[in-house]
Amino acid sequence: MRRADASPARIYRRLLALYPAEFRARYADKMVQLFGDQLWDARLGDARGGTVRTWLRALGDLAVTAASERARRHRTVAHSLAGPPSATSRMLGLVGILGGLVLVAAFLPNLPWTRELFQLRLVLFNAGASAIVLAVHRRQASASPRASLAAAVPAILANTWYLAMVILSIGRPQPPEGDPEFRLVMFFAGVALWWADATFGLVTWRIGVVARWGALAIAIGSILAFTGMDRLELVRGELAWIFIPASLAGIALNGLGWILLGIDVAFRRRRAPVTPCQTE
Amino acid sequence: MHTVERPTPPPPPLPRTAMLVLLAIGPEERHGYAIMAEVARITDGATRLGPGGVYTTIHRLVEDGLIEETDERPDPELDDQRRRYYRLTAIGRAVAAAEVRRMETIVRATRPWALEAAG
Repeated sequence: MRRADASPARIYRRLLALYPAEFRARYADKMVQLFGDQLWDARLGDARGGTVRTWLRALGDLAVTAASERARRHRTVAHSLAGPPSATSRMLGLVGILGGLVLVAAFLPNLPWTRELFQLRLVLFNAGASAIVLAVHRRQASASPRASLAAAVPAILANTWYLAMVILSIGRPQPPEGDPEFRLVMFFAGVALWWADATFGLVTWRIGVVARWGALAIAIGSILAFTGMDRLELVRGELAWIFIPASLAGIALNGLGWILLGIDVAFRRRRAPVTPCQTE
Repeated sequence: MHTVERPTPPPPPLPRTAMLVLLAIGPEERHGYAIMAEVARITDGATRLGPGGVYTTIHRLVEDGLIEETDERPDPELDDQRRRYYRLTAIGRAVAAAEVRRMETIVRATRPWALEAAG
């Protein structure tokens, strides 16, 4: 029986962490054994530097095949989750579309109702965003439980916090006359909201289970929207002419992202199956 | 009712590495190291797979039902018990035959001019 030296085998085994867990569980021992055989051959061979060459080849092979195996796993997961949504998911998606539409509609110029119904707009938007996060989480929880939870929990908490602040602000004097302490809490709720939305968008986009461009729009929109936070005015100074339009564009982009995700969640149809070998 | 029987279309071509691994296993039962060595042999050393290349391809071929793992060993006395052997399934043999036919057709059609052009 050929045996790899303990340390190269151990190092190689650690590197196998780059592969998806289920692949590793099935093939790690065999791969370590095969790598050990290759090293053995390299040492017995006449060529100088055979061991170094074997290591370099193994590292290249590992980088390429681990990436392709992960990409393939994502495609398989996406396919397994490509069935039609449940009635609950459709409902959540429709609420999300409404929330996104209301947010985007607020940017239409000179519509009196958008000012008068400022708080209602925010309530609808936050409820819509939470509904979408919940619907997306329902879809991808079985495929990537940790990533899905890491994205969904902060997003739902932050949206709920902001929603509560919006409801509490009804009937209070609006900025700049409002209570400074209340405004400070509102500011932090806003920071949490944009941060959590950006994280949600980035994680969801990476998983690739739902409409990618919607998730990416949410991520970029949230980051841009952050620049418009009222307390940042202290540091913005003369660059306000950049930050204010950027933040408005960010909010609109964020709303558009929720609409795209809502459409994907509410109206997705079953896709034709694709075999793994054909997808390469 | 009269029905017209159509010939079964050949299976779609496999990716190159998958095809090489399938052909390397051939009529034998082979383990990972033997597959790697056989791929190097049949390609005259042009393709040298690493452990990742061998086992990600095996994984896909097993999932597609073209090869299967077997517990039998040609000679248990001489062999490492940890080794796992793979052999072609009936579908795998049909796909391997289709791949060889495909290559034959290409070689037959292009050999005269290609070899002449290369001198």
